[in-house]
Amino acid sequence: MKFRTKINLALGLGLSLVVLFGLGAYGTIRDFLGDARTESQSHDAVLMLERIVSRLKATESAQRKFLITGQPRDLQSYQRNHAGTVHAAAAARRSPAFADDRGLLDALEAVLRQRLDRMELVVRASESGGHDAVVALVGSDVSRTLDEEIDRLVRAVKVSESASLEAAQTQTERKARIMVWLVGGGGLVSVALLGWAIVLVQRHEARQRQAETRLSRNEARTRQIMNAVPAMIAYADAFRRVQFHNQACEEGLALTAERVHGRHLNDVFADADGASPEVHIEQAYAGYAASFQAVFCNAQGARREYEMNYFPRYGEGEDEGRVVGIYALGTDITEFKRIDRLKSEFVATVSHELRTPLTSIHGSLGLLGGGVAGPLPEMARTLVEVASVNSERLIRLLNEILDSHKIESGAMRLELRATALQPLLAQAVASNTGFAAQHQVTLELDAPEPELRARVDPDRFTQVVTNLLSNAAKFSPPGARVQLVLLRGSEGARIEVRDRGAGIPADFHQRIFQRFSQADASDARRKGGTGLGLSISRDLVERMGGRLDFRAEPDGGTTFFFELPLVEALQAEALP
Amino acid sequence: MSEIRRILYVEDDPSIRMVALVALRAVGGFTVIECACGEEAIAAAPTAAADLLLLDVMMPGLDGHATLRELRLLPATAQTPAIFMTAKVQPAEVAQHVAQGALGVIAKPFDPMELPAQIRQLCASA
Repeated sequence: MKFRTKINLALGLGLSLVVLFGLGAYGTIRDFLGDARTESQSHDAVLMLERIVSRLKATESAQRKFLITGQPRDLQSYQRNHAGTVHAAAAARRSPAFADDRGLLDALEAVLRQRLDRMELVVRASESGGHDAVVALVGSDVSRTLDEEIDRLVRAVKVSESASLEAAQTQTERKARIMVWLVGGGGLVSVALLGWAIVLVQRHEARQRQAETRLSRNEARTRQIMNAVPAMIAYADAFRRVQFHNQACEEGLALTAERVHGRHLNDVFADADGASPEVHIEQAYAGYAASFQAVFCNAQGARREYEMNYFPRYGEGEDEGRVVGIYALGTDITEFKRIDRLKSEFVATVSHELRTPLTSIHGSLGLLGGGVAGPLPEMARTLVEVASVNSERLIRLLNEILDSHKIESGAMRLELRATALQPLLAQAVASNTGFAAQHQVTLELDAPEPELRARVDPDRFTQVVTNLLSNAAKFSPPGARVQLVLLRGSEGARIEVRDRGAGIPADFHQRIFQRFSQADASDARRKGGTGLGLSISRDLVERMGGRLDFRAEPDGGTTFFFELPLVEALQAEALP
Repeated sequence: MSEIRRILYVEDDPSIRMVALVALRAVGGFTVIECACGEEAIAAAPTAAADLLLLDVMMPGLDGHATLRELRLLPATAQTPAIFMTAKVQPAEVAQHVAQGALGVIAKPFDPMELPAQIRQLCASA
């Protein structure tokens, strides 16, 4: 059961008990109040009875006095007491004190009335001078009987009132005892519930403290790890403000924690050379990872080169699908770049140094094969030819390595000019026909629109086509023909090289344009090649405004293709 | 441009120089005055009566460009057409070579059987 449920249960039960006991106590108090009222009414009833009896006695006394004196004053006294008795009886009838003894009261009132009527009869007889009638009436037992009946009824009412008062008090005492037990038991249960709630709260607080301690320990460990990472790591919220950063940020950017935390990313990661990171930051906030290089001055004042990466962070719940922040990762690549430059220089130097002796080897073989030193015996001529072909291959490999190095280092420069493509393609076919023949493959040029022109570097364009043709020739079966096609595509001049080879293995599709990639390592030796040709070709085509790609043909074979923006005839004339 | 008969050829690498010499002499039929460095070329130039200066670019001491500048200061070679032979044939590099006052550039590694024809073609197009 969850903490909140337990607490709610304890509080709910406690509250219910309080309400229950409150209601019980209220009922008991009401009963006590009722008892007090009943007692008061009983006293009232007794008082009223005594008042009636007293009035009756006073009326009797006044009647006797009048009978003896015959004075009008005494008659008036009698009449006042008579009326007072009637009034007292009427008041008793209206009083709620006699609610339970209504029958007895009615009987008493009836007897009382008879008694008063009897007195009135005597008084009237006296007034009319009937002395004998008075004597007869007074001497009658009727009055005495009525008086006795009145006494009996008064006692009965008093007994009844006393009994009902006692019953009510007994009932109330019983209820009060039950309430004492209930309140006592309920109090104990309430105390138990309260104790349970306190224990629950204490346990919950202890667990929370433990969780906070764990969290704090984990946070400290994470921060320790983050600070140990030799890369700048930061997180910025949706408002581009840095909310987290590691030690490397402060050291790499030569900023204090206060100058990083809560500050705008543009200010924190400002390039030492003035380049604004804003475009990359906005790219990440638009949901796309951004990667670029930047230069920062560190705390020692040294310039360091960084590979910066910004990654979007998507929200959850109602923010799902929205970028709520970005992570920044800056890797110091100064040393890597230095080594890379060394490597590039090494590659360039070695390639150049290798090319110098190769020039003389290839030249010598060419001169020998060309018969400059005199005719060669058949076997010598064959051997010289083998040596010449392989020196040519070596030169080609070196050229590719150098080209790749130039592309990588950004030193590759193309001289683009509007050029008719068909003559370049024809020249490429002519140059590669001999090579294709070695693989017993025929090259064909199909150019239905020979006038198509594009802005290309003619040498590099030819290099690309040569690479595609030689690949197609190498990987086509003997007797096959390789088609070189020039046509108008959807995006410009489209160049296709279609071979009839075994096709490119599916698992190689992703890597085919990567440097030094070969579908089968054994192919590299068997077919020759560094695995650089397609990588270089794709880069060259991109620099000429197109994109080199390929597709597998349904009937076997592969077609490599690229499209270059067309230069229309008039425009072409205006261009160099 | 008058017909090329005598070539003042400067190349520091003896192997390449040997191959080129054979190609120029045996295939092209030129008379070649060979030099192993820029200084040697400057010394030979006044008496070489060269119709063409053929220069390697990357050489120890005076490189090809500096050698050409020095040769231009000599009356005998002040106007003599010049061609560089180099592996540095990127468009920007070729532009630099031409800016030194050369007719053009022949890329290394060169085809020795085609070398004379390349030279004649460059001279003819000048």
